Amino acid sequence: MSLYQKIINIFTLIFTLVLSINISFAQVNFTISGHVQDASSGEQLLGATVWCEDISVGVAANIYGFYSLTLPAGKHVIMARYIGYEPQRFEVDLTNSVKMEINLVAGTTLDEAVVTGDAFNKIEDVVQMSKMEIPIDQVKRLPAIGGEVDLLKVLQLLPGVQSGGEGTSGLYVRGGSPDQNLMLLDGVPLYSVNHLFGFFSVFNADAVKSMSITKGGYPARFGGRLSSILEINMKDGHMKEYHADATISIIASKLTVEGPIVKDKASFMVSARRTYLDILIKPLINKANSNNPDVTTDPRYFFYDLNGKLNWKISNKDRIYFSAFKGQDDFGIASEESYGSSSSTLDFGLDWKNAIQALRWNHEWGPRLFSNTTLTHSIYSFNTGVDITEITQQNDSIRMAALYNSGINDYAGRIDFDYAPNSRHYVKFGANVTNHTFSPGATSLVLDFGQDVSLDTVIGPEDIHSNDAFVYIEDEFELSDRLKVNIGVHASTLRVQDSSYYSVQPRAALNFRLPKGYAFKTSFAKMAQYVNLLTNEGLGLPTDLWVPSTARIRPQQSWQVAMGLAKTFGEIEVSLEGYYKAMDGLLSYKEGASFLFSLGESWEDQVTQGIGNAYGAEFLVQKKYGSTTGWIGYTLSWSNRQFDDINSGNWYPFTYDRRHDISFVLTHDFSDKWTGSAVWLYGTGRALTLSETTFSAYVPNGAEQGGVYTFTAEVPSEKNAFRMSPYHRLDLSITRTRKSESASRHLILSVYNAYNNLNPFFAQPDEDDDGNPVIREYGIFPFIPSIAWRYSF
Amino acid sequence: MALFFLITTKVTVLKTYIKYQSTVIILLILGLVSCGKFSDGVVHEVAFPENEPRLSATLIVNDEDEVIITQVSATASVLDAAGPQSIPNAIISLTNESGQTIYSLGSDNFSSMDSLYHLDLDENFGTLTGEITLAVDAPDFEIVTAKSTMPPKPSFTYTYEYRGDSTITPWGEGYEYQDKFILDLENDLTRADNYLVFVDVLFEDIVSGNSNWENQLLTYRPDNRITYNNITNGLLISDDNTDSNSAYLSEITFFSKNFETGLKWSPTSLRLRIQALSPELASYYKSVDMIMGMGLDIFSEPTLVYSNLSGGFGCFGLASESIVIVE
Repeated sequence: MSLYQKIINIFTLIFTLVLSINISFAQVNFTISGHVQDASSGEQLLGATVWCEDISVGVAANIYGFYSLTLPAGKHVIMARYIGYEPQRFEVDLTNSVKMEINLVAGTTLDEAVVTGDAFNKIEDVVQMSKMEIPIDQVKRLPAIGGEVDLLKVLQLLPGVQSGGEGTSGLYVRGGSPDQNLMLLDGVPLYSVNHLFGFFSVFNADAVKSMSITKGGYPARFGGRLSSILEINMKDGHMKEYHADATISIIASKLTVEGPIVKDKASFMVSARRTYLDILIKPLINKANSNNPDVTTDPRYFFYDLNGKLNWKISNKDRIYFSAFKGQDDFGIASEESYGSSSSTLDFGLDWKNAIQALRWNHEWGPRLFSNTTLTHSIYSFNTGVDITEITQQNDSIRMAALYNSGINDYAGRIDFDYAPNSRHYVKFGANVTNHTFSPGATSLVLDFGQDVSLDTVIGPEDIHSNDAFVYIEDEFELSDRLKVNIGVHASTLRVQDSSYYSVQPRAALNFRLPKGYAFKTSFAKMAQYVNLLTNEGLGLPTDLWVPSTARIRPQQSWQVAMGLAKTFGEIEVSLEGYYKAMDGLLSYKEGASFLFSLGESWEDQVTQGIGNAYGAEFLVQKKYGSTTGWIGYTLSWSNRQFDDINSGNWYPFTYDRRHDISFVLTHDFSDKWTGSAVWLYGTGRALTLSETTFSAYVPNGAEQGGVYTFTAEVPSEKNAFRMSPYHRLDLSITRTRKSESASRHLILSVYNAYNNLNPFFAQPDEDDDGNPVIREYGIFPFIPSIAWRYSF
Repeated sequence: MALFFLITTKVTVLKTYIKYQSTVIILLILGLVSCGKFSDGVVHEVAFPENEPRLSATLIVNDEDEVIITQVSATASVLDAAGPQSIPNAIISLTNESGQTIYSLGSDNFSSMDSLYHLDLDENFGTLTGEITLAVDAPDFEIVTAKSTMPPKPSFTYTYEYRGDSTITPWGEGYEYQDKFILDLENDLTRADNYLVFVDVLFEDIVSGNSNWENQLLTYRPDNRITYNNITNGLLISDDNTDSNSAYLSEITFFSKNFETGLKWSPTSLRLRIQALSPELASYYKSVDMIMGMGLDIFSEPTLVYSNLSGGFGCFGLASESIVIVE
């Protein structure tokens, strides 16, 4: 029996079971379904809960706000709730299936919940483990470097999520690499999420409605990455009124506008952000250039991003969303020198950009069946190059240019179904197809010395085309009052370079209620990944190269098991989780190889594949209600790697193996006007390799016999045997808010690294004043005060 | 009106300053304190393990050599500013498969000028068959050994084309002519083949009458079989990527700088020199070249130079060489 047939048989069996569940309940139940939405804006409230109090069953709205709850015929009391909104209780008398739109009113408890394991349910109630969600309002109140709020940096404060280096936005989740995070913006994967060489992410907080990260226990609907699923959803746009939100900080300015196109039918949201360092320093550059008119220099750096969304209710059963995002960084320097009638110009540039479009169609096939169909297009490209032009005194033109570029172009189609056959089961199933075109780095050379001498050629690997697809099905159901499970399977395939790969990935999660309100949770997930990021493990440089699995490069795979305890003590939620993750097919540059050495050479010859593991424990205590909120997170973890071609084939700690990671986050409302927040974090120093000993050696040199070149060779330690100094930092922020009937103004003062600790960004061998070799560490972010001003109406 | 606004603004700023004076002073102090340590870096005390000196030795020889050169030293801690120290009283021996000592070097062969051992041979080293063992014995150290087998003489054919190619000069002055070589090397499917290719030119000093061979800088178009080995100034040609195509090392094209004839510095002769390398020697050359090339990359991590000495560091490598004068 072929693997395909096995997969089909598994899915046929599961569908048969699901249908039989439905039939056994269908004749005695009716369904209440609809959307849960904000009463004033019409914004869909994803994760809102609809709960039947008399028989103690409920359901959470999906990411489009749709809910479906099947109940026995008769009268029931329904409670709808969502974080920060007044709960709504109402009675229904079910004699037929009914559609009911639930409009919740934002309440005075808006600031009561800070970090939740789920948007409403208590942590011990939900099956899903290892998932965290932070309300965007809370994100905006935390201290930010340069006053520019960054969503990914807030995620780095959660247990199990670590940063790559000082100030960078890279996420290292449970011992994984940054490429192992599936970053979905309105359901579309983003490849590079970095601005300003990784110090900021591309996610503009003003355009975002919700954000969550799943570190393990992945439901079957997710796949394609080994370590985490980051879901970021853009605002849908206000259905009733026009609103705007403007923010000015020392780094960038932002403007967000939203409102109805047709009231209660269609809406839009547009948000733009741009840095302006290049504009601010322009007069200084012009002044400097005016001193020497023969030489002009024009450095530039900026980034911008644009988010847009259209939302159209076509009918009671159909809704269409169109989302778009475009972001770009442009760094470079142009100079021009004149010598009489001759001149020379040089233009060096480095830019990278992302663009995505997503068209989604929601359709309700009935009260129990909901579907979403998505068509997406995603582009990522990176370009760097230098262009030199000389004009001679004879007016001859000479041009030399070299341009390196890499990128990815994806087209994808996806369909997802939510099926709620009865109050005990919630089934999700669907399929996805993606066509990738990878351009893994090519250099264009242009040499033009007039009519007689010219060259225009491209050196480098050809584009690689691949197709991947997956199908999935999952069912979350209650086996008993104490036991809830989510069981599913995700099956995927990749076709590339006349080779095919298949992967069947079982997923399971379980919640067992223990006495005294404790919940024991466990999960298992197998994952496969068909794209890889070649990186130098240092900066989150755009030079990092995205490459696919190929006929020579096998896909990455992992399995992860996690278990833990959870309980709510009054207003405080406590969770403890342990996990073990095994990884295969990890990709790394061979020792000594890097982006700089790969020009014109095959990247596949410069990489090696290996295995890894990660294990640890995560502890989270969070206070969700009251004027003082926050959390304390602690992670104890290990992450190791083994490659045959690295470290003599021996296991070694991953560069971002971090034994201890502590974060302390506090927000306090002093009054209606004043809010303060503080963040303190500590992490074990980054692993690094240092030379331990030296010896003398030689190589024959020159064409004559007996010539030698002698040198001192260094013997490095075992890879990553040493550690940089620990990382610790305190950030503070205070916000003053002034509200009027129609508008609110916020003045945000924040301090990054308040006690000015030098957190090492990199380390290198050096000599002290006595000439003795030492290791010297360099940091880049000292104490940085900043100010931002936000105006909303 | 404008004056009033200006005065009002200044008064407001002054009031604000007085109100937050202490905060501003603290911020200034913190900012000033930060300058030094962030620009100069901070020394991080690293607990290096104590160095236990070990023996290192390097001996590289090819069959045409008329001298054997060996370097023997003791390892040193990276914190030792004096670095590794040469050992002048070691006994170095080369033995064949039957245990017979072929060559031996001792303290008499040590030169304090260059801290190397030199053994001048009556004739060239010669092509040796079978496995050769290097043993280095030094006082207070365990004996270290390494084995290597001399590869067969390179078998190849070539074509040479005077000014067979032209390229654009790096600075854009126009064309520059190159001599073109096309090389067919043997790819023995039973072993890893590694070749080091040189082009040498013979220059004659018209005053003294002395002549010297000098390496030429070689160039090539992108070719997976070729890498430029900076440390030896040769082209390293390997069959790494194939074990099933006996013609894999055919039609290897490279170029050397063309010298105009008739000029006073023009060479009097040109030769093609090809070395077949033992696998250990090829690995050694590759690793040394890679490490030397990484020197400026502050983000690169140290990588070990290839060693094949048991219990020590260094390389024992053999090569066989063929030389043809290019007509």
